Amino acid sequence: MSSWKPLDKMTILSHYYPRIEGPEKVSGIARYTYDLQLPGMLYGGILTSNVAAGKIVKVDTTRAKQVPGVRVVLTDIHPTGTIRFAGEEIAAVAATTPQALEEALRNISVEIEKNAFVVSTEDAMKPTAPRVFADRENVRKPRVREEGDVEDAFRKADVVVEAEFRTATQVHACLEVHGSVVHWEGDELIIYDSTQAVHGVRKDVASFLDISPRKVRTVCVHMGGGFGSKLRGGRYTAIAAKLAKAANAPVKLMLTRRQDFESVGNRPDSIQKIKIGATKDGRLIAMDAVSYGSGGISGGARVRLPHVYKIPNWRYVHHDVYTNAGPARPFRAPGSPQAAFSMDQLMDMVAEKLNMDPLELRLKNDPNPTRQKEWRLGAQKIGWQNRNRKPGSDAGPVKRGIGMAASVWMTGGRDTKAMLRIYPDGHVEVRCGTQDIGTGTRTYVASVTAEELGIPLKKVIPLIGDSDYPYSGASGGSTTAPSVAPAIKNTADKAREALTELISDKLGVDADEIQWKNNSIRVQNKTLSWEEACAFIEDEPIEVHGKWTEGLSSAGVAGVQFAQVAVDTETGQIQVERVVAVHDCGLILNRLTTESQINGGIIQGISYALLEERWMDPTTGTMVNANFQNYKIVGSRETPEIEVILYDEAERGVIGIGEPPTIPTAGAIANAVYNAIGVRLFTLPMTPDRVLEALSQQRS
Amino acid sequence: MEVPIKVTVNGVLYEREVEPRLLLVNFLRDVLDLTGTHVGCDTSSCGACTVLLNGKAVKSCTIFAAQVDGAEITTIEGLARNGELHPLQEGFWQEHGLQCGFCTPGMIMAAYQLLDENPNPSEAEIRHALEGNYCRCTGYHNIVKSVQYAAKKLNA
Amino acid sequence: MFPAPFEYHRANSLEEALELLARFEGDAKLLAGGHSLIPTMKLRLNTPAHVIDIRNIPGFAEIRRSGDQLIIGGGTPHAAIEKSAEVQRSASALAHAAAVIGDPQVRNMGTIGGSLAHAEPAADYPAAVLAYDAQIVAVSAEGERTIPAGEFFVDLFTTALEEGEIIKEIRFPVDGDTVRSAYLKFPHPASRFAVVGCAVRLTMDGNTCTDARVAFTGVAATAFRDEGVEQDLIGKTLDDAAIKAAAQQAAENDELEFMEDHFASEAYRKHLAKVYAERAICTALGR
Repeated sequence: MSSWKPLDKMTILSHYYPRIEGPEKVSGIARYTYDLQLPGMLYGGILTSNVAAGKIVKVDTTRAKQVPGVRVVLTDIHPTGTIRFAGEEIAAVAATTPQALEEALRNISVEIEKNAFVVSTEDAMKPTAPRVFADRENVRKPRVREEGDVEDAFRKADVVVEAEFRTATQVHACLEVHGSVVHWEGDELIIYDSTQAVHGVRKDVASFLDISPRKVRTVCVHMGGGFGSKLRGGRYTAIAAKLAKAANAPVKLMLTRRQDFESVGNRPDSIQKIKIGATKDGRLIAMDAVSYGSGGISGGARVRLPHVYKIPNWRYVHHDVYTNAGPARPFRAPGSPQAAFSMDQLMDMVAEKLNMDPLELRLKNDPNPTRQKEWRLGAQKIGWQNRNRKPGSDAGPVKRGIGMAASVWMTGGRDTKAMLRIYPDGHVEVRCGTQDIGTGTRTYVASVTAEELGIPLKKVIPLIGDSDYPYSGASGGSTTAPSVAPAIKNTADKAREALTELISDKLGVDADEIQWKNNSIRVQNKTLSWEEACAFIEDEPIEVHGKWTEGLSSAGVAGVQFAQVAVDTETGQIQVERVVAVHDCGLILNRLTTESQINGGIIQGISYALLEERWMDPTTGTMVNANFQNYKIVGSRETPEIEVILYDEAERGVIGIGEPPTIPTAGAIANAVYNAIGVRLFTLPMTPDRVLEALSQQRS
Repeated sequence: MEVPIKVTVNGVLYEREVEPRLLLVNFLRDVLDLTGTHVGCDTSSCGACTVLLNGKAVKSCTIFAAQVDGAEITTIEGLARNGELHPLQEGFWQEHGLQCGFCTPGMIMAAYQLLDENPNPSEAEIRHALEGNYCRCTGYHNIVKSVQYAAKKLNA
Repeated sequence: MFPAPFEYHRANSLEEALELLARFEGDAKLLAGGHSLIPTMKLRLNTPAHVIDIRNIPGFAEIRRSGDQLIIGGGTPHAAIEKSAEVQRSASALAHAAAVIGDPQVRNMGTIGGSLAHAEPAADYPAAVLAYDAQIVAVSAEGERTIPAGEFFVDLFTTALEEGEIIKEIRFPVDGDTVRSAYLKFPHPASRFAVVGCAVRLTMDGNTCTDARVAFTGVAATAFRDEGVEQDLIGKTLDDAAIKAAAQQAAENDELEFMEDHFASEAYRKHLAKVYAERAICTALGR
């Protein structure tokens, strides 16, 4: 089993260093999918349904075809003709300019035989609700998980707390909308896609088009955010391919912002009814939880209960509910922020009932040894000892409070392959079919190589984001770093062996007599620099293939966050003033990008806690706020001072950190709000009117 | 009817005929192929399309190309001088004010006007000045540091 | 998103703009900063056959003082108003309002004339314009007329402007030594429009309020002066209790047509109106 070199021998990894493609991105040279222009390229677009349920009866494209500049109009793009949510694809156009495209789309008239629909989870649960799928109940068969004897444990509990929590549907809202630029070279399809999975898109789009994956190549050099919504191939890509084929020209098809909000994923809502029981000395012994949630026409609304705390007896019954809304897709730690919001509040409620410090209750019930240390460290940094002992006791209309919540995520590595070439001039090219979704993957492909070969970062040319490169999986589930970094290390190790072998051949010495010392090679009492060593390579570069191996990565991270908030009790406005985040992620490949990932997870958590909520209109069945003018994501002024503490556990190897930092934020904020105002909020987002409503209920 | 315009973009004079409804952002991206100016929404909310119009930061998705006849436009591609990054560009790189980088050009152009008017901004002033620009990745934390880096360098 | 096709015309003088307006007989829209017009054109809520660009008319974006009046050209961008030392000195509430519109990029393009003519019920200027009893000077082929602020806002997106008229300038009385003014708002988190915006302009004799103007935007279908609050302030010594009591009168007029949306209910807007009345008064008085 291989292992990483000791931390004190590392010269690049575990340090702070800027991302290598930074200069391209800050100077506007980097081309994202949205920016690509191919010769003769047409602009493609989709007409989507503004009706939530019905049957497509007629699509009239006569006027659309007359718009100057229109090349192709397709009407056979919906697989069944049955519409189940507003946002489904009905027709598509390719035209020579974006203006002509829009004009044509506006000139398609669609006749839909409307059906009754339901867009709210609670409405869909009613027995009289219209069915989303004719052959199925809206409330799907419950999924039950159970351990121990729940009823017996509740009988033995000294205290029981229960509450109902609600969380809203959140939309990924990547800054770059979903979309593709496609062109055909004969019967081969080349897709430039804004994606988290070049290999996955190849497979999915090949399947949509019923062609061999061998005939599809996907490229993604730079992409503008994914967060889980771009893990799969899109129907829009297949539609673009059909337009391109019909027009015999390349097509760029980017969704509109509205379409992006409606149809390519979300974090489902949840209704969670949870009861927990504890002994009077503060041991959790029982949990009984029921949840409902809707991923629209898909499932995926399960909450990751019972979260991080050890509860010997528990039952969790979850029901996915169908509604006439766009399907869910994984969204940064699916199911987990919802669980931290409910369970970490319940922890504080138990603590209050027991008259116990919430920190102490956590230390008693948290089985994870790393988090035990993280709780103490975080509490010290935020000043937990100086908190409001009596919630709501601040004088004046603006009240401050502190709260905490926990994070857990089972990341881990998996199959990834890479290919490396060493050229005679000492340059090293690494190819790996992963992609950089903004996290810094490209940079550590280079830095792991440079570290292992003992050469400067600038000697390495990392080539990623192409399905013609060796296989790597989707960038999701915080699996990318623990998958890719070991594969690159393994490949670099093999490259060094290959170079050693070449030198031993050329000089006629045993490979054992060649020793690598940092950035030089000792052989026959001589020291060769990297360049001198590479000079032995003649015409054909050294080429090696490597893959993910055991021992260089781990699964499972812990984390805690503490939030300090100020609540204006006159307006109901919550301002998050400070977040202390303590996270571990094994061997840190790049401290700069890792800290940034944590900052980013926290702001998405704040956004989820305070601002984001998809509003569906019950009368029209469409999304009311499918734009940034009405759907707010957190901005520069709503973000707090963030203190990131990375808890190094280098001996565990590489672990992912994409998801964990967004998990505890909303829970920590909710507990801080309670600490500030003495009233608990059970609904996300915690908007000003909800805060005031809670305050007024407390008064009455 | 198309409208003739003469506009200087990053120091180069362009004479073009444009459809009146063509937006400045499409003129820059689709006509001049300056695609560093990005499109993140269509409601002048996200700020990804921010450019300088006669030195002022504006959202190019809410301006017609016809309106900028006779004007000077600076886009992200026009900030570097002789291959050297502008201190703001350097700051966003070194302080890691970017992840996916899609919002970065707009963010830099908004920050450019801030530093032009206020060479020594406080953290609050930086956050205020970037209110019209969304970033979904970074946490804004390093973006603030990037602007401070540039301010320091420009004042040195 | 693109607007429907239209013909573009650039006017180099107000006369030329008026002539074009007259020529197209109601099928033309004026374009200054475009930040009210272009979004509605993109959504095809406005589909004029002709657009007349008045942004470059010389002298149309001037801020000047004339005696005890502050005169602001209709084409003046929000940023120029926000940053003008003259406005900050002589009409604080107006400067405050300009400074919180949208975001910096929007303020660089959007103009006061455009915003007023658009009459978005949650825009910031209307409250300030009402609190100042400003005079809106409209010019047409027939000549100039002055519309008092109190008569200007007719309904949602509807003003007293007539076909063929352009807002040439807006005249504000300057604050003077005894006047204290302020504008504060609670912005919608996404759109930055006012959920509630409150402008106050108080004339003080020592601690006694001798005259009061309190106006709201965002609360109802049009911005409005709140006489309930004003009457409760006039003649009072403005201590904390008096301010609080007066603020409680805010948005109590039964005839108000409250706005309501997902973010803020009628009840929440009404509550915020009282909070913001109190805060705006305190800000004006420097507390």
